[in-house]
Amino acid sequence: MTLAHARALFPPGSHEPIVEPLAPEEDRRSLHRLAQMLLRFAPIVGLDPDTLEEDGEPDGLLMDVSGCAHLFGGEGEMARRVARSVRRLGVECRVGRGPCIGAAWAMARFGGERLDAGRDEPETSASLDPLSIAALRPPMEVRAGLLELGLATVGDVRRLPRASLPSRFGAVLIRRLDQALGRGLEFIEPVRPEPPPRCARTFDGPCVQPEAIAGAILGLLGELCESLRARGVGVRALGVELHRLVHPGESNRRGRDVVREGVQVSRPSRDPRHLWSLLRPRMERVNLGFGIERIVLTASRTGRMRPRQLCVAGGVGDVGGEEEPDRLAELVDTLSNRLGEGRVLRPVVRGSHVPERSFRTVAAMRWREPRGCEARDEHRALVDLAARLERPSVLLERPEPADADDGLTRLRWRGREPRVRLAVGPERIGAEWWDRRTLSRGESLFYRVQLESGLWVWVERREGWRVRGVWG
Amino acid sequence: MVLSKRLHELISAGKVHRLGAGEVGAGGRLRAIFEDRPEACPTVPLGIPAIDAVLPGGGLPLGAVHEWFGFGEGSADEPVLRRGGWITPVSLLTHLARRACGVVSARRGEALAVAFIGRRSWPTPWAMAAGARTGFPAIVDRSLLIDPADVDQRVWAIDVALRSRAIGAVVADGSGLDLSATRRLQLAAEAGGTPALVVRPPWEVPVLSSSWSRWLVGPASTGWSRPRWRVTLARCRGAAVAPDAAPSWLVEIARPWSSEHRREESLLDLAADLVDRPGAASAVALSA
Repeated sequence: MTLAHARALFPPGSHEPIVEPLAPEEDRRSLHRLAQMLLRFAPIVGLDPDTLEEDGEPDGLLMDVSGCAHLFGGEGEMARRVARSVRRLGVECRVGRGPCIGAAWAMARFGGERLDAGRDEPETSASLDPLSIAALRPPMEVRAGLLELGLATVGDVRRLPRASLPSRFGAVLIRRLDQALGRGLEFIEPVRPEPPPRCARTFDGPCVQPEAIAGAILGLLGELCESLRARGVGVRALGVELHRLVHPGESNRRGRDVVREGVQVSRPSRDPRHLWSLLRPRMERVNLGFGIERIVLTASRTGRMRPRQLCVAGGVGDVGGEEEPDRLAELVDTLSNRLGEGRVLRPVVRGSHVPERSFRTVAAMRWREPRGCEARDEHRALVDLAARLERPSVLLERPEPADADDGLTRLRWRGREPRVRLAVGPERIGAEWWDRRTLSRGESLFYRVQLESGLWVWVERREGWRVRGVWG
Repeated sequence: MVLSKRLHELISAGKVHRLGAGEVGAGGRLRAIFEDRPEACPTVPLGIPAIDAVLPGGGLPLGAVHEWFGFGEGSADEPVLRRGGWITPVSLLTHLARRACGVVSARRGEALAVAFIGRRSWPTPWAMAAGARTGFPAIVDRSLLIDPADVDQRVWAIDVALRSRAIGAVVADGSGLDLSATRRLQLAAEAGGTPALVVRPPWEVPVLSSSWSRWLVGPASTGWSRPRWRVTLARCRGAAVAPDAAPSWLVEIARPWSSEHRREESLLDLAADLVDRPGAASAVALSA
C-alpha cells in the first residue's frame, strides 16, 4: 500500500494518518535494545532473521528459555510476564512459544487465539496444521507455487508424500517443515550485553612506584572519560583492578592476584580530576605486593550526561568550553566515599504530623529534587507547613521516659525534677487512619513545657509521659 | 589589662595587621584583620542590631570559626552533663547558618548548601524550614546532614566542607576538638571564605582554641510562650570585650505560632530588642 492509498482510506474530515519516515537503522537498534532488556529473562536472546517485512529487516526476537521458565512460574506465566514488560515500554507484541524455534515463530505470527504450540511433536503438528503455509517460513516463490496447487495450510503440505516434496519445491520446503516440527536444526544468534567501557594498561614488568601507578591511573582516567564523552555518558560507578605480583604460597601458587577497588558518584561524571580525588585515598592504602603488572579501569555503571549548551559569543552562559562541575555533587561524592553512603544524608519533609514520621533522611547520593510542577508544589506546601508548626529544633533520637503529675506542675526527667513554669497544650496527634501501620499507635497529647531553667521541652503523654524533643 | 586596653585602641584605629597565610609570597602584602571598610572583612550580620553593634564589621566574619557553647538542663555540673547529655543551641545556629548561607550565596552568585556535621548539630526539618519568608530562603532543601563516626573523621569532614565551593555555611559538632584542630578549621574557613559555626559542650570552655569568636548560650526563662536564650559573647577578635564583663543579650525566636494575625511582624526571626514588646519590659537586652 502506498501512502496515497492509505490517505485515501481516511474519509474527509476525519483524522489524518500518522506518517513516520521509515528508519530501518533506528528500528534495528531499538529491537537490539529490546533484546538486551529481555536478557533479564533468559541468557540467549537473538534477533529473528525470518521476517514478514518486505525489506527483510528483522521484526521479531527469539528467546531460548530452556531451564529458565521455572524461575518465572512456568512457561505460560513467563510468556505473560515477558509480554507485560515489553508492553510497558510501549511496544505491542505477541509471545508465541513452542518446543522449537519454527513452531514458536508460527504461533507468534499466525496462531490467532492460540500462542502455545504444545510440548511434543504430535501436539505441535496438531496446532500447526490449521495455520497458513506462510507459518512454515517458505520463500515467496515456493509459497506462490503451493497456493497455485491449492495447498493453503500446513496440514495440506504435511499430508503430501514426503519423498515428492524436494523434487517439486526444492529442499527448502522440507527443511522448513522439519524445523517447524522440531526435527531440523536451527540456531539463535544471541545478542551480547554491551561490555562496560574499560581501559587497561600493562606495565613493562612489575611496578612498585606509587607515583608511576598514580600517573598511569590518571592517564587511563583521561582515556576513559574521553571515550565516555563520545558516547554522551558519564561514570556512575568506577572499578579499578590492580593485577599484583605476590609471594607464591600455599593458597596462591601462581604468585599473582587482583586487587579490586571501586568508587561511586552521585551524578554521572567524566571529570578525571574529580574521579582521581575519590580514588586516590583508596589507592594510597593498597598493598602493592611485589609490584603491579596491569591496571584495568572499568566504568561499571554509566549514566547519560546531558550535553551543555555553550554560549558561542562568550557571555554570561559561557563556561569556557568546559562543562561546569557540579560542586555539591562532588562534595557529596568525596564525603560518601570516605565516610560511607549512609553517613551523608539529606532531609526529606513528609506529610505527617506524627513526629517520627514527619521527615526522613535519604542518602545524599540517591537524593533527587522533586520533579514536575505538582511534586514541587506539594513539596513547597509541606515545607511551608513545617515552618508554621510549633515544633522543637532538636528531636531526641529515642523518646526519653519522664514522669509528671496530672496538673503538669513538675517534670521528672533525666534524674531531676524541675518545676514547670509554663505548659502550652495539649496538641492532639492521632493515628493516621489512611495508613494501616500507624493505626495501632493510638492518640497522644503533646505539650510544650517550659522548665524552671527556661528550657522548653516537648512532652508526649500516652500511657505515661515521655520527652520527645527540646528547643535548643 | 592596660595592655589589652591599648591593644583595643590600636585595633580600633586599624593599626593591627596580620600576615595572611597565602599573602606573604605575593609581594608580602599585609592584610588588616579589622578595618572600617566592610569589604576588607566581609561579615554576616546576626540580624539583631544590639549584638551586631558590638561586633567589629557589624557581624560575624565569613571566613572564620565561631564557637557556640551549649548548655545543660538546670545543672552546670560536668559529670551530670556528660551523663545526661547537653543541649546544643540548634535554633540559633540554624538561624545563623541560614543568614550566612544567604550572604555567601549572594557573594558567589549561586545557591549554596549548608552542611550540618555531627548528629548533635542536626536540626529538625521544622527548624530548617523556618524563616522561609524572611528574605533568606529556607535551607531544608539545601542541607547536607553528615554523620562522621569519630572525631578525626569529623574534623576531616568539616575541613572538606569548608573548602568546598558548594557550601555556604558549616554547622558542626565541635566536641573533643583540640587547639590544633580548631587551627586547622580556621585555616580551612579562611581558604574557603565560609563561616564555620561550631557547637561545643559547656565543659570545654577552658579548652584553648583559635576560633574567631566564642559564644555562651543558656536558657532564659520567660513569661511568654516562646523559647528564649541568654547569649553571651565570651571572646571576639577585634571587639572590645572585657573578659570579666562579657556582654550578654536575651534572644528569642519569633515564630508565627502565637500571632497568626501579626504575620508581618513575626517574620523577624530572632528578636533581641524586647523593649518594645508588650509584657517584656523586664527582659531588656543586657549589655556590659
